[in-house]
Amino acid sequence: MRRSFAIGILCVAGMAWGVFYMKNAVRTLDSELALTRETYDATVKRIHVLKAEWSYLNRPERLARLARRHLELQPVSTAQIVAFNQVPLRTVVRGGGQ
Amino acid sequence: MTGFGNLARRGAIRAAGKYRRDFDEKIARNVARGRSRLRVTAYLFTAAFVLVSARLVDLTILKAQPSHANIRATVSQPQSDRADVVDRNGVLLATSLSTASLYVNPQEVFDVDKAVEKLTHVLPELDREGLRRKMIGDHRFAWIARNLTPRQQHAINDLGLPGFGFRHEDRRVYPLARLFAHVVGYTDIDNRGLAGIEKYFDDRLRLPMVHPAEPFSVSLDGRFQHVLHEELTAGMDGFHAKAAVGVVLDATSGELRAMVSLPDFDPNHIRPEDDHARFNRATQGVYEMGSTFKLFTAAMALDGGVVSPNGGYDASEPIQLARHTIRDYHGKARWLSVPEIVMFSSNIGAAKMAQAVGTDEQRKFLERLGLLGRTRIELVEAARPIIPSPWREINTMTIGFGHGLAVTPLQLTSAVAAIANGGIYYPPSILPRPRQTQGVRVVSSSTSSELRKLMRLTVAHGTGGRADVEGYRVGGKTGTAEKVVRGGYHRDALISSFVAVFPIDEPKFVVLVLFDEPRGPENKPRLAGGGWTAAPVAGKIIARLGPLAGIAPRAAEPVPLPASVKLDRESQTASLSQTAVARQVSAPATDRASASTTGTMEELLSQILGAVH
Repeated sequence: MRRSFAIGILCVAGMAWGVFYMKNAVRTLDSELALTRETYDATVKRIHVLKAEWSYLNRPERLARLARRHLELQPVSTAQIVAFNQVPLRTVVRGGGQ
Repeated sequence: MTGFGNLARRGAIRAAGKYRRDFDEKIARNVARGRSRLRVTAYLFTAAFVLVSARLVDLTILKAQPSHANIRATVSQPQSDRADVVDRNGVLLATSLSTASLYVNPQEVFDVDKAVEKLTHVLPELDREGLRRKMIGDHRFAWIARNLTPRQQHAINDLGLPGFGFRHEDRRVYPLARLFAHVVGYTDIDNRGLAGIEKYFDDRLRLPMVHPAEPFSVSLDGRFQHVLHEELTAGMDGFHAKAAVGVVLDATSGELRAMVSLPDFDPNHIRPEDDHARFNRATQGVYEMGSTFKLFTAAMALDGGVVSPNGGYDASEPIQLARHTIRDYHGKARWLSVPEIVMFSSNIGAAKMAQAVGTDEQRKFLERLGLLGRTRIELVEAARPIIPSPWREINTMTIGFGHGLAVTPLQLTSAVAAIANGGIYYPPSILPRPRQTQGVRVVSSSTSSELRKLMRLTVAHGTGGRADVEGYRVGGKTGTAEKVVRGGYHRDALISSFVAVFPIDEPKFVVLVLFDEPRGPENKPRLAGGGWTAAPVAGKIIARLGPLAGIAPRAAEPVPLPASVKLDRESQTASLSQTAVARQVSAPATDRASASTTGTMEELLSQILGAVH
């Protein structure tokens, strides 16, 4: 009788501790989740803004201006585009002194 | 006393013993009852606990939902309530940004002077006096600045001023600014679509977004749009034109690749003075197109078997009909074959060809090409053409060379695409089309191939020479029409256009370039025609689009002249110096027409029709 009573008390104490522990763990996880969600929202927003900025910085008109200023490239003329089999291959001359 | 006393005591003891016995029995009974009650209660509780535990196990383990489903449901949606618009390559055309707006609570401001000093340092455009007034007083809220950039917001945060705060507001942003102004359109302050795609697809853009947010994709290509925009702007400046229109259409599906209307505006900053610039000339403006319509006349005549490719008409004499005279600007004064009529842009020949086909046939044909109904495009800014009513023989003849029927540039482009692509009409569309889209056959493929030859001849030997691009086999047709100004056609006010198809042996794209009142070099009106203004610009556009579209250039092949074409010296020079200005309906101006002051189509029609009555 007394022994079962003691076991019962122990059980209850164990369960109380378990519940407390679990609750604590859940609370920690919950705040972690809230933080993650917040970070996620902020990141989504940030990506969104970055996409808009990327698109803005990639305005074709701006790229053309930058290319003119920094690159020494000309637009491709149609004469520069040929099929592969029309490219004259370099012939290797062996033993040529000159 | 003793005897009795003993007896009495004995009796009392006996009685007490009995009582005790009774008492003990009672207790034993009660204890037994209590135990059994306890036991029953314990059983009951145990059963209840077992039940609860079983239910717990059932709910948490056996019937457990997959945990990620719960997580997904609780992840919050993106803040924006309007979908992004992207081009066919995924480039962002329109998006909603949450911007911060700065407000102040004067009750919490410590040092007004310091706050004013610091704020004007970050936001120099703020008015110091106004700012000071907002920070002093009994109110608890006042806006300082709306829609700040993130950088500004950051700078203000760094100031660490007490009493200031931010509120977030969604704002529609167009990163490419003017480039897609007319196509994408714009919204009002509450993010409701007011023009373009924003208006036409307002409901779809506003749908609560699925996760992750799906952007709204259109068929246009930012690179094509840029090329078109840049070359048109350069052309418009070079020729001092009032306005310009450019359209690039996928000839094999009707997908719109680029559409520009100039002057344009910045959809990020709608200003009242941009009112006229917001007019989308490509889909809302109706123009008499002039000679480009000769393609339709030739296609209609060849397809109906009215004339053979080698046949032709006598164009030696101007046509007199009622009070009208139809003449050629640079008449060859001889019999002209069908290719010659198109190449040299003979009005007389085209008018006779249209007459031979007949009014009913012409009407049906133009109807099938989508030229008589409302412009078919997913925009609210889609105009109806101006159609002569009644449609008499004289209209048939003038429409044969592109006068008396005003259509939108987009309608013309999609009709030319149908003639060139093998004879199938696809209504133009702003949305990406699936590969196998059903079109409507309008001419046979042999007629289409004949027309392609004519278009190539026009560029190789005729009026469209300046549009030729080495390697890309350009075909096309010039168009020059005089505008109706103050009740009559005006020699110096032209609508000059060029419609190009490339590569002509396997059409991929149709390019339309149109200038409103361009001026030629030295202000010569004859150098302001389509062949001199629109054609070279179209050529430049094609030279840049070709590599972008991945079309392999091919070594130039000479274009043989058909036997029916005589390319005499005079016609060669003529072909380069003129593009058959269609001033050819010279009717006496009626009072009604000359009384009005604006150059609208109604006037033109009342002029043409009023004279016939």
